[in-house]
Amino acid sequence: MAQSHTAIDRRALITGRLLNAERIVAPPGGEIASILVQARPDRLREVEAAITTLSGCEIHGRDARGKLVVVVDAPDAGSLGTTLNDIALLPDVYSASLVFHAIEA
Amino acid sequence: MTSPKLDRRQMLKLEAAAIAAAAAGMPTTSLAANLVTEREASELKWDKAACRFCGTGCSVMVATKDNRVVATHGDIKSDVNRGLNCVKGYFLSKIMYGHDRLTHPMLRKTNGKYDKNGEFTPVSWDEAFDIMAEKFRAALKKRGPSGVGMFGSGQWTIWEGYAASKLFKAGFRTNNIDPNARHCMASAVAGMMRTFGIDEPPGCYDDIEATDAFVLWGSNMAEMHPILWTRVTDRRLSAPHVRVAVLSTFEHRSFDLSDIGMVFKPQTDLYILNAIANHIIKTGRANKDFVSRHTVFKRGQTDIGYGLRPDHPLQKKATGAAKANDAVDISFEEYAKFVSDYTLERAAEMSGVPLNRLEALAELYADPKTKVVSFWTMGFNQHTRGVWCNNLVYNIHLLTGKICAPGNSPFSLTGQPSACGTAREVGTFSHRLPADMVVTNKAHRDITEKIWKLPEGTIPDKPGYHAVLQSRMLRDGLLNAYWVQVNNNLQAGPNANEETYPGFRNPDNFIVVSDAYPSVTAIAADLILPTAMWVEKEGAYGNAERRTQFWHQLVPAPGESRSDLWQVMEFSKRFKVDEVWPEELIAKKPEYRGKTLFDVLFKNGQVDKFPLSEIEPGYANDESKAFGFYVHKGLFEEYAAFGRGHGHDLAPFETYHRERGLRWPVVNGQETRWRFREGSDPYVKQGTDVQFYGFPDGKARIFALPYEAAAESPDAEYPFWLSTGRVLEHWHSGTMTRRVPELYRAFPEAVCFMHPDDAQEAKLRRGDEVKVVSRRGFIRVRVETRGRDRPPRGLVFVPWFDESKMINKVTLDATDPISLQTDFKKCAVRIERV
Repeated sequence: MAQSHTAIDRRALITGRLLNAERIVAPPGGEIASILVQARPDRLREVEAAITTLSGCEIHGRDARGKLVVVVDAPDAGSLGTTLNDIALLPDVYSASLVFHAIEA
Repeated sequence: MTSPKLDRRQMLKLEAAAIAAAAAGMPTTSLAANLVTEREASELKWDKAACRFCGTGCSVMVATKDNRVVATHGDIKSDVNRGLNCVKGYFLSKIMYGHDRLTHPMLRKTNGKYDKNGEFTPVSWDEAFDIMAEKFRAALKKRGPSGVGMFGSGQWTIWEGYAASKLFKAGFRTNNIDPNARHCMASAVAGMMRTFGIDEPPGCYDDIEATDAFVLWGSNMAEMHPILWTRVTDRRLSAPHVRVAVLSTFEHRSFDLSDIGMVFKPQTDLYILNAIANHIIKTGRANKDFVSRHTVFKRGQTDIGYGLRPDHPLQKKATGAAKANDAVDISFEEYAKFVSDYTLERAAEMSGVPLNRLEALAELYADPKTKVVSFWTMGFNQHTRGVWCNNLVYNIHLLTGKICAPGNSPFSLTGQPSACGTAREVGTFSHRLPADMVVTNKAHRDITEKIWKLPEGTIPDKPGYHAVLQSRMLRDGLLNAYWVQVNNNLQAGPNANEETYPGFRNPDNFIVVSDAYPSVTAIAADLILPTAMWVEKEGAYGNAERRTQFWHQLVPAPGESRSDLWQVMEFSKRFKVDEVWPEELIAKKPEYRGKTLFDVLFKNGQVDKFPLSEIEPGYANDESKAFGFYVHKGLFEEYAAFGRGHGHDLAPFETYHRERGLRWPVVNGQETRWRFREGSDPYVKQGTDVQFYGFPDGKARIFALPYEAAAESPDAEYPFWLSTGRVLEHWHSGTMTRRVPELYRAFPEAVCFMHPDDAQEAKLRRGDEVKVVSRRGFIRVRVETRGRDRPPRGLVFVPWFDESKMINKVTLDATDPISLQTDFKKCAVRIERV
């Protein structure tokens, strides 16, 4: 415990790297989440197609006014956050909100 | 269970879909609906809590199993988020379980003894408090009360901020306590106080569904307040007449939904705001009846400086710096004449925004048939004229009477979960006391001392060191014992190279940092105290729309971590009144002689009034168990005494454990959605229709305030504007979000967003490493010319979440002279190829 902190050179603190991905341990097991997506209504079909190509994503509901219910079944922890951001940053997507999230599924 | 055999995964998936459909108001299958109602049968225990992240104040349902948080979902019963959760909500199950969670107090030592240049070594809480008390005593002896100080947070729970404020302002008799909310919404506070004489927004989130137009002034809601943005989007898509206008100094995700997108040159927002007011008056659309009955006009002091050190040339030159907050009365005619210089044509020229867009924007406000909600965050608040920006947007809403009514609402969004509840309402600022009172007012100090059962004259009458001044005083060696809780100011504060970091390492100073993770600030400290976070303690937050929310302790904190509340209260036992108060003060309350600060402040017959038996059965409460009484209830009820009957009424303690929050003032069990409006706000006198009761005359102030230049603008040597801010994936300095593995990978390091033409001109390609250099320091970072943030030519944007690319080594510590909040959005840099 103490070791990992004392190893840091204080001078290098501001310029150096304190965190890296290897130091972060993902919880075991998979994750399940649902995401509510709002998108441009006249592009809903395209958005839906783009989402289903993402790993683990299933469409569980749609509303012509521009809403999609997406369920993400991620077999291993560590991909869900990326998936959520990928959806949020898709063209014609206004927002992607997480609704439900369970770990160790 | 009526379903065929489903495994746990399938069940969870159906449950996930059903909850999302319900949140969206979409039909759901009966199978899935059954799953939700049969929740009790599952092995998870579900409780409500307020989200740990931004100021929106979403309610989340939290599932625990074997003393760990294992699942969360948006709370369908919450008026704020209606079952939704944003990307940050996703972190909630994980933020407590980072690999490098701090679990022991750690002190810098060499050969078994404290040494500022030693290595961090685990110590007991006793040893930690021993050395801390020794250093606080030494500082008090050397400098008096001004030698000690604390930097707290809008992430403190209400009782944490209240207890800390009490310990410093009353116990140590210093006002050197300030929250990091100073960096976040101090300008919004000062703006409210100047215009309305009382803090916090007149409207609420219900305005979103009632309005015809949204105007975003320096707010990227799509990335920073996604749940509210979902509601804005819903409104825009379901009511086609609704318009969305977005103003910013660079294009971002919120522009996707905008009907009127406007990228303006930094600082010219001041010009645009005045031009809109002028347009309203000139076209005869000022609401004369409203204006004459409910407002008065003021001319504000000008040339107020930039909150820099007094020996800075810009500061010496500023003729109005000493009286920055002053104003004189003027008439409507004088005000109209003042703004008549500000034309839309000239605003277009100054700002670079096409005239037709400015006209469209001005018409949203001017048209009496269009209801308007104005939202703003850091674009206004982190501004050397941030208070003015706040005043100027209120001007527009007041001139048109578009205020305090459903759909008509100037609304300052907040970035931290309890910036309002703790920093503002509790009054943890260096000049404030609870319920909008201030330390400089004798009557306010008297009230406070009376409620706190303290002798007259306990609370000092001068404001203490505010955030930026604390860093300067640390550096100058005048603030020697310093305690930081729930924030990462070495990364978040401006000009780290010249002020914050030298201050932390000044050999005269002892720095204590309470944190859950080894943040940059923690590692630069001398003593680290491990902290319980979020649902590891009973908590209360207050969100941006005056909504107070509670949660229970749901899981234990790891190792020897203790809540900030326990730390503050336990530390107070180390000091006797006789060592920290002068004899003449003790003489006024001789019964306090020989008592500890804990006895006087927390065992005062009020805070310790409620027994452990009042804690709701089934919930742990570690602090109360440690002290032998229901700490949270005692602190809350004592605190609530400040506001009840004075426009800040809170409901009884237990109510908040049942409700999904209530918006104060809560009078006779009823919350208040629109303040200052008869029929909605119980404090408004009958027959007045609208009453701005923050001022004795019941009227709001409309201010004549000019355009003044930024503290530092690009020149030949430093040709680019630098703006800093956040990204979707990371919250603030990333101490929590960067411990979520996939998000760490999704946006691992900060980049420098710049215009492709600027990059090409400098012979730079996307991904090239560059130095971002200012007069104060530099960082190395990679160039990004694509993606979500698209700066115009002449401006670069660098997010501040990345501790390895600390952009605050580059920023300038110029502040708004009234709010003392830093302008993190404007300084001059050059970009050098590495």
